[in-house]
Amino acid sequence: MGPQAEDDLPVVRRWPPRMRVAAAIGWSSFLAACLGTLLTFAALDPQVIIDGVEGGEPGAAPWWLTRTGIYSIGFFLFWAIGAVAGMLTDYLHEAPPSEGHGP
Amino acid sequence: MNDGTAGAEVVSLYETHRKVYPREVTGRFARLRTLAAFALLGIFYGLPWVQWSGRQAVLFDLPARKFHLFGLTLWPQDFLYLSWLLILAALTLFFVTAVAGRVWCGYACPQTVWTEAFLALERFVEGDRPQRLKLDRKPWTTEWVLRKSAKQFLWIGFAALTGFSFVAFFTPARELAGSVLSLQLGGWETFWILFYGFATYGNAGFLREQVCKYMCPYARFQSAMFDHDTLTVSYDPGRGEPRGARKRGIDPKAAGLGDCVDCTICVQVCPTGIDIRKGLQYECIDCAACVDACDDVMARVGYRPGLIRYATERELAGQKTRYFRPRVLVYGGLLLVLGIGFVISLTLRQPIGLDIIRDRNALYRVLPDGSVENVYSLRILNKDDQAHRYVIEAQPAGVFQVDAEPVEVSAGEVRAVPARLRVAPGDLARAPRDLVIAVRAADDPGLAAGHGTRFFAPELDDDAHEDEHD
Repeated sequence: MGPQAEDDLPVVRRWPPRMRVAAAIGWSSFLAACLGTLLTFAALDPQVIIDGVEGGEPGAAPWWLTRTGIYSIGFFLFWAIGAVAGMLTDYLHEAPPSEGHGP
Repeated sequence: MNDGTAGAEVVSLYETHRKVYPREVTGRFARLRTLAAFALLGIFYGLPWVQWSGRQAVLFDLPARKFHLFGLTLWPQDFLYLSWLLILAALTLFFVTAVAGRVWCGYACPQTVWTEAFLALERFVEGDRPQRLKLDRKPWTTEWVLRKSAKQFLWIGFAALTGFSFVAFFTPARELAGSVLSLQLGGWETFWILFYGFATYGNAGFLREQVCKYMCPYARFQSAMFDHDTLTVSYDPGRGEPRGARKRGIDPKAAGLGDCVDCTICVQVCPTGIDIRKGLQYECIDCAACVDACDDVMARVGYRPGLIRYATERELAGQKTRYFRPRVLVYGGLLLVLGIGFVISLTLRQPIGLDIIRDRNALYRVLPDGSVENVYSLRILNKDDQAHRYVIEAQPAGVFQVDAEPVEVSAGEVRAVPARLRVAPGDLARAPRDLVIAVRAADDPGLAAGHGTRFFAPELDDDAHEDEHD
């Protein structure tokens, strides 16, 4: 190589495989959650849920139960569902245990 | 070139334990990148403060379920436009990628722009690459603690400002600033400012190029849009190889060398830490930092610039680049058609929505005077910024008598109103089965929406029943 020792170069950082999988699952489920939230709440007005909880008594809902609150909760719920699907995919994608080890 | 420092060890999440310490670059692409970063960050932090006829110009008012974009107000019923816009954005990305590679990544991606901003803050406090390497070799000295704390202070402040600005696109910026200053910020606003601030801090301060390498789907599938005529940042091996160090002033050809002096500066400036001389790699975000750096070196050793440059594979192979190729024409054509369609549709868009539901209980009713009545239920949505009074009419005119009062609908409201249509006994013979019910704003006759529906009467009974069973 060149006149410079390899040590002086910024060696490309590589994440270990588990971390790469975690990052990929985290991010792809995040993107899916954005889409899910957008589609769901374009069709569904969360006010329906708030009205249901309040049951005709305005102000009866807890402080966090607002439209923004329901959008937020919905988003994290979608994110969690996406992440679980991703984790399951990763888990099942790995080779099944070899024969003879089962109960 | 050798600054005599070893790559610093970091406590690690990584297999190989060296951190990328990008060296600062100057040059035309660096200037372009800085310009783009300033413009984009300026838009992000400045736009929430721009007013437009008495309200925030760009406000995605989620609590009120409407989006304000300058003079335009979009409702959930206008979801089509949003999807259309997203498709246009995706197509633009495909088109640009096919022509000019990853310019999005290099100049406009938020991940790049915020990483640049965080790097600039880091450079401001800790100095350039050699100084940063030196500082990290001796941790926990007074200088180290002071500089690191100052950097964290700036980073956290900048991240918090970013979180605030993000939320200001959804909650009016002025109110939000008032709530922050008076410490009366709502729970969800606080949460989202912290969440987005934290995400910015983590992504731009720490994850940096890892986001592009392990998390970004575009980085993986962009190669599908590449071909031999796509412009990418490339090293010209025909000119550069065999690389090697040399004495100043010697003729490289006589020494059996190419133009690459192997100074490794192209590697040192790379934000993703790759060696461009190994050819096209998926980590390369086309930022052209190595282009500037190499041109600088070439000028200093007296060679012509462009050893690393924006070039196509075909060009490097000594052929001519084909700009008009099927891929580019297809992406470009689709983009043009959809873009024009979008503009036309948006221009013709009427800020009024109408749904017509026929009364399912009774097909028709014969009144004592022999006239026939059909009942419809109308849902009128006023998508305009002001209230309107709507007149309900039926076409063709002259046959149907409309029994419905004008309806007042305030801005953004939906109102359901019954409409009774009658046909006098003498007119029954010429009453068509298909008609259009329309609503028209009394103050603006151009503002109207109509839908086709049906009118049933005893004479037309036989077919009508069949239809009702559908």
